[in-house]
Amino acid sequence: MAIAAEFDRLHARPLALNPFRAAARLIGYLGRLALMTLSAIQAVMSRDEAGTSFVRESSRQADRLFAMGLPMVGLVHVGMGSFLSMQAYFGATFMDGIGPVTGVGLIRNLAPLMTGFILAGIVSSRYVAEMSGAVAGSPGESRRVATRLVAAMVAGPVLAVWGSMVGIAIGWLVANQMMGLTLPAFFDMFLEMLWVRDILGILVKGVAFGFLGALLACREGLDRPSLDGSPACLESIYSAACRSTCLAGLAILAFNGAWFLLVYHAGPAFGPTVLEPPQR
Amino acid sequence: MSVRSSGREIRVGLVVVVALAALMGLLAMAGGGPGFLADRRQIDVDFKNGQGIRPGSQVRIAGVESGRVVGVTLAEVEGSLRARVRLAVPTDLAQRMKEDARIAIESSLTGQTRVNILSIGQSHVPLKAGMVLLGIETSMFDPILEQVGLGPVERSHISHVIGEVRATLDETTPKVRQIIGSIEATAAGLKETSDSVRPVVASAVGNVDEATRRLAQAAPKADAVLSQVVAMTGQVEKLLTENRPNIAQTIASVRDLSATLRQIVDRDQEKVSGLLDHAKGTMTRADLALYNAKQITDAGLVILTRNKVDIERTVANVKDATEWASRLVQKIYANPFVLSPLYKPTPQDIQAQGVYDSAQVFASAAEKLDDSVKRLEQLRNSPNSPERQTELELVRRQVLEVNSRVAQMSQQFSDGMKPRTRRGASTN
Repeated sequence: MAIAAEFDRLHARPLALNPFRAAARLIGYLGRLALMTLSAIQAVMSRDEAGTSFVRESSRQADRLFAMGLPMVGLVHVGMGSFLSMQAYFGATFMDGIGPVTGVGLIRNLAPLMTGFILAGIVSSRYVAEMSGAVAGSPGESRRVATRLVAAMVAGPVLAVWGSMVGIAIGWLVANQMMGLTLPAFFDMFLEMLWVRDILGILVKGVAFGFLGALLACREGLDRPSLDGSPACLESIYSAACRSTCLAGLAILAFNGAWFLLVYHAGPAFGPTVLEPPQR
Repeated sequence: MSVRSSGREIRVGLVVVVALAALMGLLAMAGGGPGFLADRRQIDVDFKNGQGIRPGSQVRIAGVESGRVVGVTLAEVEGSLRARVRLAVPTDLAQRMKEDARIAIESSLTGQTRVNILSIGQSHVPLKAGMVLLGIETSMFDPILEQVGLGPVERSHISHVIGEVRATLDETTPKVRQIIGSIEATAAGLKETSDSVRPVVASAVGNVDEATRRLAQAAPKADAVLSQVVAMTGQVEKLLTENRPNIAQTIASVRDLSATLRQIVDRDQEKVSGLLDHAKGTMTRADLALYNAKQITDAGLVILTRNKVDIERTVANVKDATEWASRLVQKIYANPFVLSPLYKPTPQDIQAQGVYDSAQVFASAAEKLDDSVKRLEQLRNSPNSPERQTELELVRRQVLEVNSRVAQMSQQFSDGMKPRTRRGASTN
């Protein structure tokens, strides 16, 4: 009943936005995110009084993420790989660009980004409900947050690599079946255009995107009361999961943009390309 | 978010906000492209055609991204609006650029435009702050044109050369026109001069023809003179041939004389010195005498040339007279009584005289025949053609035949000159 009363109280508030209060809430929210991260780090460093294994718990969380994420990420990248392969030919109208556009495009940006969005949805759907009603800042809850953060940070790059592999394979199959592109013609140019920073990027962005999704999902879950099975409680959880996914998507886009600016745009040039004539 | 924030959360949240703000600022700076943390310097470049360049476009040098376009405005330059592009490049690069740096806008095949620093310039004057450069126009065909050596720099050079040629033409055209006017005036003057000179030239040509005709008339005389010179040369050679033994003897005498003089000089060196001193004066007088002798010789040569025929006739007469005198002396030696006014030769004397005269003639002829035989032998020994050898052999046989006859005649002469026994005495 208390939850229902709280839910009604929240929805009964006027829609008028007080900018100062909104700013204070935003700052407090960011502060809670930071404190939760610090407590999770402390939990990783300390021993669990209950004697549970951190690695085992993290592995169990990661298994769940892989079980849900592998098919979803694979299916999404089947579409992405085939689309990129055909678009590389029908958009740029030359065969040499199919390998680089599909492979480099997936590894450099699309695979970690799409995987980050999918992972944000998965962790939001799980962690918000799992973490709701817990007491924020307690050792037990910090450990639960830490295991989920680690699981998401491990699952992020693995799923991103998995997605890029599926997309590249499907892209080559499409290019081979529809345009008769041979395996060397596809992969030679793709590997020639690939940079080390691209490989580094898919790992770093996978870790970061998994961390951001899991962090926001845990935070949203901790901000919610315990599940009591009532429709209002469920609605609150659904809203929190959606909110967590959107906030994670926003954070992922911001991080992805920052990575592009710092590593590619403000760094050296984008490297070899098949679209421009070679510079003399 | 419905949970009320504690003071600790607010403080930590503020730190996060500050960190995020710093990150946003860093990202805003990173939007300027590579080397965004390095010192930048802005350079303005005017282009006639901006080709869609816009802020954020790349600035490349040597194919390497080195800056960004930070602003594009319109500027009125020399009565026309141009795209003034402001570039932000690293300071160290800007410090290397000169006032004649060449910068162009290039379009890629994908339609992207970027600024390309083609050359930092060759001038010694660095690019000053606030100075506006004039960009070079390029097109998407530049890579193809560069393959044939007509890149932006080369085209700029060609344009510069054309401009210089045009300026030179503008500068020199009035002078050329003035020169052409002067040439036309000179040509008119030359025409007038030729018209006035033509009669004089025609008369001169007539005079030349007359002189040529006179030379043709004088040619036979010149040929005759040349013939005389050739004949005289032959005479001189003949004289030299005849007097060769004398000349050799004279040279030997001179050699003996020089040896004698050398002995005298060795013995009487002091006297010779004095003699040489006197010889100088003598030499002067000798030169004068030689000069006079030369004059006399020339006069003599003239006389000889003019009286050659008379001299030859005189020499022949003298030779005949000498031969006659020789025969006369021999005749007198044989018979001294011929000098007597009372001498009257007997028929035997007359016969003997006739035989003697005939013998003389025969001896002379024999001598000439002997000379001819020797000459013939010389000709046979000299290299000749086979026909010539055949002719010489024929002549030799004829000469041998004549020689045998001469031998018979000689025997007959010898027999005839023997004192004959009177028929009565012999019988007695």
